[in-house]
Amino acid sequence: MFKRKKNRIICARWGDLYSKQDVNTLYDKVKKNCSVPFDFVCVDKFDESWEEYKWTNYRASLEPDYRFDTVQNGYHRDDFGGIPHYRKITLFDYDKKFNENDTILYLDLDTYITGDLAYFFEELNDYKPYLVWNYWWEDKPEEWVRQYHLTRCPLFNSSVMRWKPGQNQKIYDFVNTYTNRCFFTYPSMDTFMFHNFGPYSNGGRKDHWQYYDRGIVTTERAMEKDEKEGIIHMLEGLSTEEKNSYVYD
Amino acid sequence: MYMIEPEDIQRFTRLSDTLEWHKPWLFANVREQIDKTEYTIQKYWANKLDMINKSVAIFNSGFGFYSVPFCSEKGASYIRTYDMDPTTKEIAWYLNGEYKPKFDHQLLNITFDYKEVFDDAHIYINTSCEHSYPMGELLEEKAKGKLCVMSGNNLTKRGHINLIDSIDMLQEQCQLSEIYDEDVMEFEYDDELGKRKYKQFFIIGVK
Repeated sequence: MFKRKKNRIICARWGDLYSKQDVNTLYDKVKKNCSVPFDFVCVDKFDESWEEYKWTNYRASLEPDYRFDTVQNGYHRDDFGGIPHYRKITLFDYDKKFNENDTILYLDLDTYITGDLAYFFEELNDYKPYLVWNYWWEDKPEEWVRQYHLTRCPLFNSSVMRWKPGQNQKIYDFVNTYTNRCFFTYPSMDTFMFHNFGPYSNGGRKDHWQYYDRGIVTTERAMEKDEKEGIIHMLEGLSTEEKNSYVYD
Repeated sequence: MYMIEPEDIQRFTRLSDTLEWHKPWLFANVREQIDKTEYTIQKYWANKLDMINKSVAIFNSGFGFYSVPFCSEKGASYIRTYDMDPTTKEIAWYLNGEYKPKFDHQLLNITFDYKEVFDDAHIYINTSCEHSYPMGELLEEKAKGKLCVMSGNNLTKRGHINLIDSIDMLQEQCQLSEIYDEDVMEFEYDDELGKRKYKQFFIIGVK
């Protein structure tokens, strides 16, 4: 029997870094900027069975809330391990509760929407899931190529992902199989996916994702002169104060 | 490489050309892979091992500037290097192509794809344990009863996710069944954190 498909826009909130007000702000922006019908869900209850792996493998003393260089317990920020944002990966299993015909658009709470989100539901294909390709690093081999083996400059960015239910199940299953190895090795979901589900990955994991065209999603921390903000403009990497001043000013 | 030969000069020239014309941004990485510390570490195990007619597997190999010729000159029948970095793969083949057909390089992330490691080597070497997940399970699966050289250090540096603080810690991670030799070397490193000394730990034994 044909089931009616839905456009689902989801975000995730845990801990104290973001407030319910941040969720409401994102919802307001979505409502204002999406010309097709949608259901909005903020996921705030997660499967936390990986939590112990996070703490067993996290090598720093404090969990930084934004991107800055620091050394703790002899380790650089990029080498802390523990994948602090692992709950986003659990969304790839959480989607079981959706209809297989649905389309999911995930947005980080610090994304800023300036264009019509209908693009993500009507202009893209379902062949593979989508995430953000960091074009701004790609142009700088001295950053991402030279540091490929580090967790520093992955070309993947999971702030905006679009997928069909079940399409990313194998990423969740991979972490479930190699849980300790994943949490030991990576402090970042983006590098984890770039190394293991990216263009240089092995076996059936290679090239798992496709990417939005350049300019559709932009980032505040790497804007070129005269470059326009994309449909979605990411504020990742900025401090809370910087994000607030951007969103509310 | 023990006694500099024309082939060694040719490899060095190839590396220089790569840096000058194709990958000038890779200079810092290359410099670290050919510096005196790297030479000392690779020569240490090369001096200790009998490799005549033996197959050698080297993990986290980089492009094997020293390790590959050392193995060849000591009579290894086959040398296979493993590294997850695509640029390293390119350079490894460019530099070591002359050692074919007894040379192979595999682009492989040994932390997650350890089941794809070939189990046909006589000797398994990883002198960069500080870069990766503890080696115990990989060795258990692929190197049981084989000779292993494992080494790691306690240097705070980008990419070092597994600082090795002692011989005991290295052995705890690798779980060799018998250790024939162990050593500690002290080196110096200088970067934005300043000049500092660190220790490099070695164990040689059978898994």
